[in-house]
Amino acid sequence: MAQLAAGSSAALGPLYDRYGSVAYGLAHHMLHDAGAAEDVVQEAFVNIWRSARTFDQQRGNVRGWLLTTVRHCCLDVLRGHAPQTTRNVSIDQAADLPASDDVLSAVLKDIDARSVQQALAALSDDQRETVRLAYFVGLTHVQIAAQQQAPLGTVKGRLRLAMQRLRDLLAYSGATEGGASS
Amino acid sequence: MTAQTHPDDALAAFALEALPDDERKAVATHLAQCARCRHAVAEFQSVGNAVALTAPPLAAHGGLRARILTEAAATPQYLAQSKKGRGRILPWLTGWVAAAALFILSLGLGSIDVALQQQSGVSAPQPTFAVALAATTDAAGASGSVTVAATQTALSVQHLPPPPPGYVYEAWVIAGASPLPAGTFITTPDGHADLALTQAAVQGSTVAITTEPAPSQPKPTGKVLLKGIIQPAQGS
Repeated sequence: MAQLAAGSSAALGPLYDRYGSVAYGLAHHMLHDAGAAEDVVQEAFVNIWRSARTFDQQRGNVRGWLLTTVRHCCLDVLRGHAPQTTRNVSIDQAADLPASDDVLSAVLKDIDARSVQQALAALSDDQRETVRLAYFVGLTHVQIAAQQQAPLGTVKGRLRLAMQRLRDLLAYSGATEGGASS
Repeated sequence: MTAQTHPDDALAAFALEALPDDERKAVATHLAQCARCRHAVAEFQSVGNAVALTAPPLAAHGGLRARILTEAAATPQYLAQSKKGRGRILPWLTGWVAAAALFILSLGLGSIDVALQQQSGVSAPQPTFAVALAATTDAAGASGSVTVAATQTALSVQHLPPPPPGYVYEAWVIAGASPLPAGTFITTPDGHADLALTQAAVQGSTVAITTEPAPSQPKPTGKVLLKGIIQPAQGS
């Protein structure tokens, strides 16, 4: 990131080598379209380049920033928004550093995929499906309620409880395992 | 919705961007007043970021890496604002533009109209470029940038504390006789926000940020906190 901040766009290459497959995997998982996923990943990496000078390495989490940007771009596609070629997700909007006093973000900074999968597996089927529809499919809770033919209040509560449960499980996992880097 | 009636059932959905627009705006307004709920949203956002890792990694087409590097090489970066430079006119402001900016900074937004009426040659939007917004003494430490593209003007601010209860930040585009409201926003607990402006910021116009009573004001009433003149940086 220091080289990017210094104005070397070539430094995106090693960053792509490290995180490209994770970013493209997320985009493809959300969009199910290779071309659209590549466009999204391209925009996300260019966004990292565009904003690199504002990046605080002491607080930053490049992986989180990148994946948040990828997801936002995917949501634009899924929701039929016009392509936002200038979309910029700040590093603090990337969820790993939303608040300076957020201990959880520090704990989860390097958590690995297996720990998250284990936490998701601990949810009820309804909770896990609700998280999937909200996070990966990009549905609003109103749309989820319609799809699941469930009252809106039920879906709201289900999503809240699922996220609270994930938070607790991941915080425990990250704190006890040190969050092995993926 | 008040700070005392917390939208607990909507916070997880807000963090995952799973709220319809009307409800999202209501929650955002509440968050401006409620540190408890902001903290909850921050935690849910961290959890959401972890969920992203469960998507299986996948190798993209071999040409993607080269495409990214090519586009990045042709894309200007947002200008970082040094601590020494905060509150100063940016070096690319020269001549009468710098003089007009100094005039605006010293007299406040009410004078922007007059200063800009003296300007001419406000031009059509140009290809994408970004300019930094300078903080005034009323927002020391804050920074921001505006990215101007063919179809969109995007604002990003940093280190601007959440507004007081009952207030929002409001963006203005001044390209003629009066400031035009360009969108309201609140910032995250550590001062960040990104939004697409509802008014295009053409070259030569000024973008300014003020604090205004919620939900919005048709004309600025608060002090200017951040501002910048929309011009592409030389050499960027």
